Amino acid sequence: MREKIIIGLAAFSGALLAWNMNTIFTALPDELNQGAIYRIIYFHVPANILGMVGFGLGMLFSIGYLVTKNLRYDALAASVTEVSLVFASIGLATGSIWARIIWGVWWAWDYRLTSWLVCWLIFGGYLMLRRAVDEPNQRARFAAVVSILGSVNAYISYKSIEWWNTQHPQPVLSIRNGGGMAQGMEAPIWWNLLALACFSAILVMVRMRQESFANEIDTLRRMAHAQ
Amino acid sequence: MKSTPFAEWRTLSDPEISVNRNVQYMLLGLGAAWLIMFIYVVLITLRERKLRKELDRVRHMVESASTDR
Repeated sequence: MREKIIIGLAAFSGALLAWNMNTIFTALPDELNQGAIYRIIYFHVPANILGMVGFGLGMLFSIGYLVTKNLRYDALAASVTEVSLVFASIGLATGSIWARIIWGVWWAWDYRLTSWLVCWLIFGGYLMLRRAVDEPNQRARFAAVVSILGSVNAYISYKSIEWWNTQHPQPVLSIRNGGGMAQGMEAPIWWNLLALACFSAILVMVRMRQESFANEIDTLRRMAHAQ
Repeated sequence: MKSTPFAEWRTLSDPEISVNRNVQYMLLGLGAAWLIMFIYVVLITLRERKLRKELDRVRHMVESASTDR
């Protein structure tokens, strides 16, 4: 059943991405002030949204583990967080390349960029911590605490463009009362978000399967040692 | 070989060059996004292969230990 869901999601997200890339490159005009480079927004924004939402979900699963002590929640938190870190990396890389053209620099130490980089480092540390601790319950407990701290930081990063004056633009999407984009230019962001969300769901499902393999290996090893 | 007259050389302030640079960076940005996804998919596939091999090995080890007893 899981295989069928993965194949279905892959086909849907692949088709949607292809259709959306066609729209972005052939139907949409260049932006008046930025030219062609603005098209980076169609990956930059969805990737960062998926990163932030994923870190938040990871925190909820971590709290789920702390409350129930069920290791399945920990496996879910680890899978979602790892995939979210990949999307956060895409957000940082595409943002930096965009900034080089628009701001003339690769990086600016403003509140948004710095808090998001700190968030990326915290969740990078989260994955390193998981490799460093062998005992599953201890690992899950430590990781849950880091996940909660990192998610608070992710929320600060999300709100930073409203709370402070930043080099990074203020909200432009209509759902955040931005309304800074011309009609027709915003919709492909949401379509790309949907396609990438389906893709990230596939990655999380594969990671979950790997977590169950790892648990089975641990159990069999313990059995072998006990014999 | 035909030489290019100096007057036809383009300088960095030429608007056409900055348009080209703009497109180059756009492709670089989109390429980076695809590359990061591709690298992660490769890593996750390799990890899956390694885990499956390890699982088979440990299963075999446990089975042979129980038959030996």
